[in-house]
Amino acid sequence: MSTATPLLEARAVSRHFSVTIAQGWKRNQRSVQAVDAVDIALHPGETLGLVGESGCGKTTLSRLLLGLEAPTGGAVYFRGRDLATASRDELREFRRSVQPVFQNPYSSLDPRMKVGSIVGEPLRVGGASRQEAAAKVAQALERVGLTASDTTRYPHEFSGGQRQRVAIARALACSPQLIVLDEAVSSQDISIRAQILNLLKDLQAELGLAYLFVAHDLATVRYMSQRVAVMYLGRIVELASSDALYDHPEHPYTRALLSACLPDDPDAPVPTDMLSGELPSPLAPPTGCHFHTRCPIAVDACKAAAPELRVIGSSQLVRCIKVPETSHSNV
Amino acid sequence: MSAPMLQVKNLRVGWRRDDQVLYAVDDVSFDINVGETLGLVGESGCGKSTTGLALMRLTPRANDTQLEGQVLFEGRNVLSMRDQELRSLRGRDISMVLQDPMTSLNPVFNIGDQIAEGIRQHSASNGTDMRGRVIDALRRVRIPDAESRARAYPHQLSGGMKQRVVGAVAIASQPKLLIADEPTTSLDVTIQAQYLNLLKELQRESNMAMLFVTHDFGVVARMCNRVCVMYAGQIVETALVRDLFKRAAHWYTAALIGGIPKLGRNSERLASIQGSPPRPEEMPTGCRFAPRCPNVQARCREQSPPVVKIDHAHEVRCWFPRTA
Amino acid sequence: MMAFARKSPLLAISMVLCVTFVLIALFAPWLAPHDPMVGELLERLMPPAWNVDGNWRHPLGTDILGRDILSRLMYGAQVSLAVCALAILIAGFIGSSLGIIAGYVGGVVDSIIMRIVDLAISLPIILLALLFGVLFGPSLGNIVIIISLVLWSQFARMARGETLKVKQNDYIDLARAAGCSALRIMVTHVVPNVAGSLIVLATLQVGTVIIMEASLSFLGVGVPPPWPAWGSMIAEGRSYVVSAWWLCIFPGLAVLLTVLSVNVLGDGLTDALNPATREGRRR
Repeated sequence: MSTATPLLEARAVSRHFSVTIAQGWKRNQRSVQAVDAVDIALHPGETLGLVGESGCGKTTLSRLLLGLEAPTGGAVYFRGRDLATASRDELREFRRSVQPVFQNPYSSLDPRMKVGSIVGEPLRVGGASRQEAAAKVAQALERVGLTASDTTRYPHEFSGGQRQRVAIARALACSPQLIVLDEAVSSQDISIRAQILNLLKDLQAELGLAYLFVAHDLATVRYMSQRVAVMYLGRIVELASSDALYDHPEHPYTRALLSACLPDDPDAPVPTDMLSGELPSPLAPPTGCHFHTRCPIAVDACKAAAPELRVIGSSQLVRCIKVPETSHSNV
Repeated sequence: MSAPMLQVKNLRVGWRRDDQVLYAVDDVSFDINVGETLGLVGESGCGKSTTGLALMRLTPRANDTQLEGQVLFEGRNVLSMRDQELRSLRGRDISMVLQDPMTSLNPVFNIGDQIAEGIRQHSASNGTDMRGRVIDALRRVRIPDAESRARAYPHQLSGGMKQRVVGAVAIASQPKLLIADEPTTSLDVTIQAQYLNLLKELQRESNMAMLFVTHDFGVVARMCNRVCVMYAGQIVETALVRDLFKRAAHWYTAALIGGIPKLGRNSERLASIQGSPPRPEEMPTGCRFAPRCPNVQARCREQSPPVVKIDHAHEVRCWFPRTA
Repeated sequence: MMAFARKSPLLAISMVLCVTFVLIALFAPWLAPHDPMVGELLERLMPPAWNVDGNWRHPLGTDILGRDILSRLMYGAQVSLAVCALAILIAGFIGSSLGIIAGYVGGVVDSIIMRIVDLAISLPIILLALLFGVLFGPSLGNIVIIISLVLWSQFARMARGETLKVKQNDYIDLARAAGCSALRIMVTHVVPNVAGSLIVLATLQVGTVIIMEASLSFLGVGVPPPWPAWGSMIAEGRSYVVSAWWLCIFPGLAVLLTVLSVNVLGDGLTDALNPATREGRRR
């Protein structure tokens, strides 16, 4: 684990939303804790995977890391500088270095703009001249497998997979150091998904990019990531290297998630320990450990207080009081 | 072995555009036996959903859509049935579950009423009897607190619950065949596992056959006995599920399965297929997969390959099938 | 072109009519056979040419002061066009800008602007027009101002609604992540994407404006005589509805045909711009 200043870091970051629930004539103000005191760090050149089901907060966390939303608690640091108090130049540098790619290629591209303008927008806003931008745009398009002549075409002339490439080209155009991929391949067909994942890996090798890979498909996350964080109702419940997490999951939720995954082939044994119950609503999260209502090994202490993230073995972080520090699975 | 319950023979679904007819489903044939689960797998645009809809003649009724071929359910051709007969078939013998539970349920009626409506279509029932049957249907899909939940409205339920209610409506009249079109795509992983488990139990209880239309090979691996792979409106391979995964004979199937990341260790690169599927207006002559096939030969571009039987229950539409 | 006419004849006809009106309005000074303001008293109240007492020098007859009705209709088209163009441009620009700002910025700004819109919608236009007429005297400028005051709220509401839809798209978030200011986003992303619906709205408002102008002129607070406006022509012919029917009918028909063709055109545009009703690309 690197001890150098991380590229992008969240320290005790929280984000809550006020929601007004109408019940007949009454209107109740409730607070949804979408992200609850999360610590996460991203280092140059590595891919961190972020997984979880609906309501876990992974999308909100990625938006906080992108600066699209301000945290209601804690802070986000870029190269050690707090984004909330950064200067204009520092913010510009941050935006150049950290770029997003979102899930839906149909709503990521402005239908009224030409591809060249779309890909060049971050450059132009960042102060680049028309010529500089045009050169970098052409280069970015070539890198993702499109051609420089595509700059004059409109989004509707491209298929979903090609549009996603345009979105990636836009992220690449200002030579970033980190790309946040929020379900970037989830809505693509299998063959297009494979093409784009291969492309992302190639780009990472060629340009030394770091990725924050947010997804719900665990197999894809394993394929792409060196480290993986699992979230449940706003908290990180486990954080470990990819191999450690998938081969020796410690947290009961991680185990349940992995066993619920559909098999790679029909001969795989059907798991018997199915997780029961529904995902609790973020409006009314369970007390103490959020997972205790569905956890197969929960005890009374789990309801009382929220557990801390502890180090298990060499470098696996787990948020569970029932997992011993010297777990047998860590050599 | 008795005759298959459902026999689809040379099904074509096309629509008229200007002066030509374009086919979304082009000469599709398969069988479903009593109690078995058949998977219909392919990427978007391959025609699998249209095929599922055509089995109950639910394809859009625009005046330029046409259905050709035969869909024989227990010997009777669905495509040439009279409206009355078709109405008694739908929802009773053959039922359907769709992808989006949000739009499958009517938001202004409570779920008890919607299940009752499903039951009422096919059997007479008085008030108390109906209530009992509704509660029973909710219990069958393992919805807790069935009595109080029956009065709930769709927006008060989670996605997983809604999908179960949709399932309850679909199985209320004990169908012989359930067509499920991507029913778990919008569900979370753990909820999806519960739901698929439920479907398997329901199938065991009533010996119901299922047709799973999906793009997810994981669903196929878990749920299906046999699989048909579709590409550009045609079935390119039919096999037992194990044979498909271990010994895929069609190059498209192999490339597709090779392009899926595995939960276990993966190789450095995923298999990928360059290009994209042809549009109905631009179907290539010869094999439809030829432009993208890693094993293409001259014959493939000139002549459309026939369907050849290469093993017990294993057929493939290819001139030079892959031998593992 | 002919295929288009065959596919939607109603749309084709209305397009032709609209273009005709615009051309007549623009070229009235050259097209009109007579001076619309000066009449020959000897030829007053002449019926249309096909009538036994009419003649082809005045194809649609003359009014009480002997002015040629056809020429007055043509110049009246000019008045209508001017009022429409000005009122819609002013109301459209102000209303759309406020609506886009309300929709994009949201919060307090949104509430304030929308409350002002509510106020504007409840303005009694007739009362206002009469007040203006009394205070400032009737004039073209005053009509434009009054109609704009009533119209801008329609644009504001639609612009706000469309902006809210556009805001849900990821490209807005991507623009924010790139460092675009709110103003830049509104101008480069929101405006081009809401413009389509606003243009359709403008087309549909033409009918409303013409009727508003005609009503105000009818009430005497519109374009002052002797300028010919279709509304005031109808007003002048009020007492002669039975005896000299052509004084009211022809201006009335002019209003009817113009408003009808503009509305059909607007509907056609709505369908053309709506992706759901266009000949869709099948996946």
